[in-house]
Amino acid sequence: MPFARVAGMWMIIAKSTANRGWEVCVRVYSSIMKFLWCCFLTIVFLGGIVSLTYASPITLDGKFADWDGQACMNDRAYDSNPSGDILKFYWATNDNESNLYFMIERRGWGDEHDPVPTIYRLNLDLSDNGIYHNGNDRYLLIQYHPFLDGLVAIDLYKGNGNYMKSYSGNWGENTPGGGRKCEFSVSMDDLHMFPAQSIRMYVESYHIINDRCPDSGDIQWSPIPIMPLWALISIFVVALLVGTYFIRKRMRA
Amino acid sequence: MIYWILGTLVWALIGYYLHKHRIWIFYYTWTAVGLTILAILAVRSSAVEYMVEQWTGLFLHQGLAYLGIKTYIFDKAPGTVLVLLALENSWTCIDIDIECSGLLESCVLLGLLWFFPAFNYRQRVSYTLSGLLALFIINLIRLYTIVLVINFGGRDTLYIAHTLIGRLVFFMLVIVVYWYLFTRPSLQRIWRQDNV
Repeated sequence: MPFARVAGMWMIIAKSTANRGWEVCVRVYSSIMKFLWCCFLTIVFLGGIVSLTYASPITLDGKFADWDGQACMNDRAYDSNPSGDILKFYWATNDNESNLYFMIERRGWGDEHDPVPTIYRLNLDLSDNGIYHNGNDRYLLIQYHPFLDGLVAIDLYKGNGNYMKSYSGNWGENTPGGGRKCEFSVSMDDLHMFPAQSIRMYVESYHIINDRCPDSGDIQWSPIPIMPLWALISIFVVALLVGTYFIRKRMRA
Repeated sequence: MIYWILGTLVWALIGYYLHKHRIWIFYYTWTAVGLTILAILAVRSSAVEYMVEQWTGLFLHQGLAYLGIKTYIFDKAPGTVLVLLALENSWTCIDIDIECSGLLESCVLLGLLWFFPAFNYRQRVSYTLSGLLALFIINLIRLYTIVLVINFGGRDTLYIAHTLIGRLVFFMLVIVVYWYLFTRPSLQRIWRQDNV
């Protein structure tokens, strides 16, 4: 009898402790969830306020550190004479700008700095159909003069050969600097293209032996791949109409 | 910065007012739309966007390598994937920006989820994690679809692949996610209340 009473008491104590323990567990669990919730909010809002921009913008200054790690196409070495042998062709855009940036690196003379000028031709197929000589296509003739303090002179032409515009600046490595790299840009307004447009491109060098990058085919690129506003509005309107149709149909049924 | 903080404060105060007066429909609309807009502004050009684009590009690169499609990715061009297309032996440069990374859709999901009155904290946290993960995977499926269509259909199919097929796949799968995150739990809740 005393044993049963003691056992009963212990059972009551155990039950009450378990209930309290369960309540404590629920409270702790709820607090953890609230804490995680606050963490989410904090991360999103502080993360946004801090708003770090990692990719440094490309600037035309004859310095090339800003091109490290950017999108590029490698080309075989030793398939042309050193001054015309393209090694790398880079392309990029900057945020909130409507310029296309390019950089070409050639093999050059290695440790002996290359003073020999080169002419490159950057072909742009703006109609994205694989044909480069239409009136709405463009090409850039780029004259790179390392011995003139890295002068880069650019002429913009239509695909059918009509001259459009010229640009120039000291955007290349000068001879003491190596004479291998040059950078340049062209405005999308001058090209008469819109940012979300897909284009195709390849670059050639005119020298004793011509080189091409890529060796065959070309590169398709949408500089700023944002869907045009009219397409977004069309999708929204179509979705709205379809949704309304089905809702009305269901209501009638 | 000051506009950002002021905007957030105004949004939070109005949300609080609507919540306190239990005007639920306007509360939900205001807070969900407001949070979506604030979150989009917050992640734009931020570390979060950089990270998501980088990871999406990386997964795309690895996945396409398993399928035998040659690609390149770049350190400082997050989300840029250069794909060699077998059909034409030419290159296509795919840029995964805020629109293609699924971040906009993730912000919309956060807005809808975090202020959905029927959910408690536990559900919000677990649905946020699973929802964001699901959207990331769905976006990857969309990108794989686009690349495969271009790879086998040629580069002329880029516009259709990106604008139509990719989006169709994405939105169909998003409907499935929304079913499991919003519709099904809400229906279960209603059934439970009816049974009680």
